[in-house]
This record gives sequence, structure tokens and C-alpha cells, in this order.
Amino acid sequence: MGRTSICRFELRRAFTSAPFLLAMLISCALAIWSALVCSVGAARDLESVVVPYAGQTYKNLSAYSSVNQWLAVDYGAGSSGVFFLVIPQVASVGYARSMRTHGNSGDGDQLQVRVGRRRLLRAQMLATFLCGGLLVAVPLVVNLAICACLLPTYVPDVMDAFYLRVSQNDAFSDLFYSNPVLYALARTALDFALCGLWGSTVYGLSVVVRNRVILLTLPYVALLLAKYVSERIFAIARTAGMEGFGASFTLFDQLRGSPDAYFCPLWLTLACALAMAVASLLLLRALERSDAL
Amino acid sequence: MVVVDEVFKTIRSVPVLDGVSAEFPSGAVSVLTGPNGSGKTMLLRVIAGLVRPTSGSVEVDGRKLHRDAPFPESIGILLEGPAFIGSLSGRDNLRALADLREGVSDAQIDDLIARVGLAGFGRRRYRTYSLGMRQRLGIAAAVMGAPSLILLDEPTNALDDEGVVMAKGVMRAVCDAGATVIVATHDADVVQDVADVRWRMAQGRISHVTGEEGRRHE
Amino acid sequence: MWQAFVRTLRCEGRAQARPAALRVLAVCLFASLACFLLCAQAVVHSGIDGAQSARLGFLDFLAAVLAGEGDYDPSLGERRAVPVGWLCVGVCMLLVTLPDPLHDPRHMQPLTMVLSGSRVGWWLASCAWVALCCLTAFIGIVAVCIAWGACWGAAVPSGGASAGLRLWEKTPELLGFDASAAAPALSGRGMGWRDVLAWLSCSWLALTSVCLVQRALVAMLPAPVAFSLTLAMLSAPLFVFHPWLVGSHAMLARSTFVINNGFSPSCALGVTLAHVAAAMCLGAAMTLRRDVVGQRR
Repeated sequence: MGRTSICRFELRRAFTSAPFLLAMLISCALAIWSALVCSVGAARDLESVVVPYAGQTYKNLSAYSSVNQWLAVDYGAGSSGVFFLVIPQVASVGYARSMRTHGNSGDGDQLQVRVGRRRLLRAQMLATFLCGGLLVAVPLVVNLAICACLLPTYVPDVMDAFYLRVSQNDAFSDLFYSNPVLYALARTALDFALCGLWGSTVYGLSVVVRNRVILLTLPYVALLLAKYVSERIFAIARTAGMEGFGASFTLFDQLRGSPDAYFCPLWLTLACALAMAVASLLLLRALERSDAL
Repeated sequence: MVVVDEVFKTIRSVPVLDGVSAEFPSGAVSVLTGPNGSGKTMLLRVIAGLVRPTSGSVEVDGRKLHRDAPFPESIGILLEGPAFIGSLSGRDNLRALADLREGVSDAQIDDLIARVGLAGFGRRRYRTYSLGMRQRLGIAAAVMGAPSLILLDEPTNALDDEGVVMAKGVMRAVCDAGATVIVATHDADVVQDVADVRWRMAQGRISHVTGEEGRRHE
Repeated sequence: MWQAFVRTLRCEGRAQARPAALRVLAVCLFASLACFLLCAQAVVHSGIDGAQSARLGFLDFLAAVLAGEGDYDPSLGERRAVPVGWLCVGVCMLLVTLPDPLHDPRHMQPLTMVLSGSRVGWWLASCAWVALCCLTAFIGIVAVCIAWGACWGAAVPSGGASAGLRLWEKTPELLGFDASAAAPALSGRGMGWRDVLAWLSCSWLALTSVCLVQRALVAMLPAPVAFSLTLAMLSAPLFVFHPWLVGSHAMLARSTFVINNGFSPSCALGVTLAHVAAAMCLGAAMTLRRDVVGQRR
């Protein structure tokens, strides 16, 4: 089996696996819920704004733009909050597996002797990356499509910034105010990469974690803990007078166009992505060298 | 004694068991043979109470399953391979399972471990066991506490020659103590050396049986 | 059935006591971390505004772990920090009860179910084990909070009309939730021991009900997927203020003792018991009627 064949085999297996389909169902359900809640509310408000003020120049219309109600941008609605809290867990469930238990089931050995351990692991890591990425990208696209069907896509006006979700400190903010479609593309691509890298990092951890249930839940807990500890420390620093101190470096905020209370610049997001990429590669090397037990 | 009466089982429109009727006597080893997919394991699951038949009934020691009791009262099983807790030792696994049945002492567990050839390995963690060792532990769990009904699915899988001799000896011993033993196997040695009654299954049906009583079912 | 229940519980205890204990210890360590960070923040706070001492009480330490957040109105569209600490506690509780080979349909379930002799007894034992683990973890959290309070020198109310446990007026600020000063936990009246016990019981029940929902889902779905679904259920109250979201009743900051439009213990009891009943019925339905076919390890 050549390299392309094993990749195709693993991708087909990944995209037809029950956990991936269930995870996609969960994330799409959350995205659709968010789209309906935000868009219906905004559409109602828009009607009460546009009709009475027809013929007048009315600022703040871009606050009702579909891009402003998009899941990746909206921070007010509960549905988007739940989505971004849950998505790192969902993204890791898609195809991540413990290589050790996978090897014990027999099919891992069968594939290894045919294509070699290295090729197999790389194909699986690629499949895990794509699964994780798609589990966030597809719901974002679905959500934007629904918002675009229910609301007009005004180009956000920087004069309306007070009413808009994306501030100047947020990633791709320039694009948001000039070319929202390109913004949506860039945001989706970035989220695809982040969740994909998260999924593949979790997969790489199977070099040390044997139990599949522990493997697919403990990294999420670690992420939560990191967010909690950092926020507490930043709160302490702010109490001590260091105003503006603190940045969001966990996936929960980096996936959002307008994160929670803390600052999340693009360079920090890219640095975290790079760290996950390096971790994935190092863990992959460790997996290649570990015993095929 | 186990009486299976016109048991049908259909899964997603596929008939897995197609009108199986049989009597498995106490104090005898009944062996089910047949090609792969003939329904041997499914029949064992129905007798164990894990699977509810689409129609028909199973009676164990005079009690109808799913009506008088959900499971046979005194039973040991080894179905589709052993499953235990990896972080516990073999001994601790048996000890935990013994809690589900009254009257199994630590000394009996140690004796059982030695009998199945795991003396010296009883305190090692289950996850370090080879396939054959796991199978031995599975046999030990199945006969622990001297149950009156024992169901074994391919008990000699992964066993070495000594292990096969051990397995046959255990089956014979529990059967001599009065238990009903039903074994599904492809192992010709087991069929030849241990079977008191042989049932042949094909396509979800009992095709014929030979045994001490010489009954034949077509 | 009763015998099957007792025997299965005993088997579970013997097989799972050690791993469960380790997970409970991890939960207690987290609670300890939360208390430490509260102390650190209070010290810095006192140093800034010249308070005589950081007047943290026992209730403040409980709030550091179990406060959650108060009223949340998404229509305001404000950015705010999600109470991740509370979520960590909930997630840790889920993980205490998630891995369970004896009740995993893909592992030892067929063997333990048959040997127990009763499907109903087996399922009830599974629920009882979940409740027991949650109770142990919860008691551990409360004990850690009390221990930290004692080390800090928190005073026990000595009696009189306003002798109840109170939150220090700076606690909402430290923990980041809005609170009405008229609420008992912040005003002179305070929370009596009965109020505290009532709230703690509801909180434990709420977390247990979520764990039971997870246990019921594990009967149908792979464990990580069941965890993801339950996580979504646990996260929802962080963004939606509604009494039917059971996670709300595990938050001190949403009780009537802290905010005026909060949820009373009776409301909490009703909602949590409804969730417990629903989870147990769902699991029982799956267990009673379902064929146990095929093991995957």
C-alpha cells in the first residue's frame, strides 16, 4: 500500500467513523442553534429599526450585519459561548485514539506490517488533523450561511464599532471592517488549523496515555485548568494595579473573533499554533520510535 | 438442565437463530460445533440471558429466562474472549468478580489460579498478561464458585498444549460435579475428548446431534 | 434484585475504589488550588485598599470553588470572563465517574451483568456508585474549603440575630460575579447552617444528576462522546440564566442567598430530582431491554 493509498484509507475511515459523525452532529447542532437565536433576534430588531427610520440615514445598521451575528464573532449569545467551550473537546473526539489500544485491537499491526509504522502514523495524524479542523470549520460555515440567509451582509462600519463585536485588538480586525467575506475565510481557516493541531496533539499524547477515555478527556481538563489559573493570576495582577495585564492563550479564546474579557492578539494565537505544531511533530517522532505493543 | 424451545432471533431482518430447540443435560459436556456464523455464540448469549430471543423460550433449571428471572441463577461465562480490569492483578480481578457471587474464599481463588496454570502470575497486573494467560484467567472466572451452568465460547483459543489439557480437565471436573457445561468450539480435540453430547449448528439451526442418548434432530 | 444491587456495589467498590480515590484526590487538589488563589487575591486586595485584614470567611472559600456566576443577561452584549473554575469542578466530577470498565458495554458489562443476576439491580448499583463517587468528591471539596478557612483564621459566627455565615463584601468582586447587597449571604443576616446545608445538598444533587445523565449516555454512546454531550449540558448555564438548566443549581452565586432573583433550594430540589429520575429511567430502559451483543476492547 503506497503513501497515498494509506492516507486515503485512513481519511475514509476517519470520516465514516461513528465518533466523527456524532461529534459533527453535536457541533453543527450548536452552530445552528446559535444562528437561529442570534439571527432571529437581530432580524426582529432590524425590523423595528429600519421600518420606522426608512428614508433617513441611520447609523448602526452594520450592527445587524450577518457577519456581526456570526458564531465566530458574536460573544454575547449563550449558544456561541457553549460552542467555543465545548469545541476543543469535540475536536479531539473526532478521530483521536490511543495508539496502544489501537495496536492491541489487531488492525494496527496489520496495517503496520503492510505500509510501515511511520507511514501509518503520519497518515493517522493527518486524518486526525483534518477531522479536528473540519469539526470547527463546517459548523462555522453552516452558521454563517444561515445568518446570511436571515440577515443582510452589511460591511461593518468602523463608526459603529461600539455596537460591533470585533475591536481593534482582535485578530483580522482590519479585514472585518473592510472585507467581511475575506475575514470570514481567514477566521475559518485559522480555526481549522487551530482545532486540527489540537486534535493531532491529543493524538500524539497517546505515546504516554494508554487509556482512550483518559486520552480524550484529560487534555481538555488541562486546557480548562490553564485558562482558570491564568485568569486568576491576571485578576490578581489587575488588583495589584497592572491594568491591561493579561492575554488569552487558551484555545477557548483564540478560536473566537472576539474573545472573552482578555486580550488575544494574532501573534499570540500564531505562537500557540506553532507550539501545538511542534508538540505534534515531536510526539509523532516519539510514537514512531515507541514499541509497537 | 437447559431447555431451549423454538428460539428465533432476528437482528435487522437477518435470522441469526432460526427455530433452535435443544435440551442440554446436567452433568454432561454439550459441545456446539459448526461453521463460522452458524449462530453458536448467539445461542450461548441467549442462554446466558444477555440476548432476548425474538420468540421462543429458554428454561434453566426449571426457571424461564426473562419471565421468572433475567439471568440463570448460578452461571459462569466465557463469551467472545476474556475481559478484565487491566490495572488490577489477575487475583484481584477474580476477587472482585467473586463479590458478585457469595461463598468464594481467598483460598479458593488461589487454588483456582493454580489450577488454571497461573500460579506465580496471579499478582501481576492483568494488562501484562499474554493472550493465553488472559484466556486461562477467563476460564478461572467462568468456573469460579462452582456454578451449575457454564457457558464457554472457544475456551481453548490461544492456549498452548498444556493449557488445552488444563481446559479439558477443568471442563470434565466441573461436569462431574453436576454442572451443565455448554461449549462452542472448532477444536476437534475438545470435541473428541470431552464432549458427551455433540450439537452441530448451521445457518442458525441445529442440524443434527449425537450423544449418549443418541437423539437425532433434523 | 436487592441482593444483586448490594453484590454489584461491593464488586464495584473493590475493583474501582483505588482509581476513583485518585480522581477524587485530584478534585480536592483543584479545590485547594482555588482556595490558594483566592487567598492570594485577597492579600493583594487588602494591601491595596489598606483593609485591616482580608476578612475571608468559610463561605468565601466555598464560593471560590462553587460560586459559578450570578445573573447573566446575554442581551447586554458585554464581554465577561466565564467562570471556568466552577466548570473545572463540574468537569472533574464527570471524569471521576466516567471510566468504569464494570459498567462499560464494550468491556466487562456482559460478565458483571450476568453474574449479578438482575439487570435492574445492576443498573441501580451503577447509579449508586456514581452518586457515592460524587458525594465523596463533594465532601472532599467542602473539607478542603473548611480546612483552608480554618488555616486562614476564618471566624465561626458566635450567635445572635446576624450570626449566619456571610460572604465578605469584596468576594463578589474577587470572584467576578454581581451580587445584590440585600441578599442574605452579603447582608447582616447571613446564611444559617441549615441554609448552607440546604444549598450544599442541592449543589451535590445537581452535579450528581449531570453525572447520572452521563452514565445513562455511556450505555448508548462511546464514552468520550457521552462526555462531550454532558459537557455541553454543564456549560449551558454559564450562558443562559434559567432554572431548568440543572447546572445553575450547583452555583452558589445563583441561589436566593446571594442574588435576589436567584433559585431557591426547593426549586433546585425539584429540578435536580427530575433530572435524576430522567437519567435513571433512560438508563434503566437501555439496560432492561437492550441485547448485550459483541464486546469491543
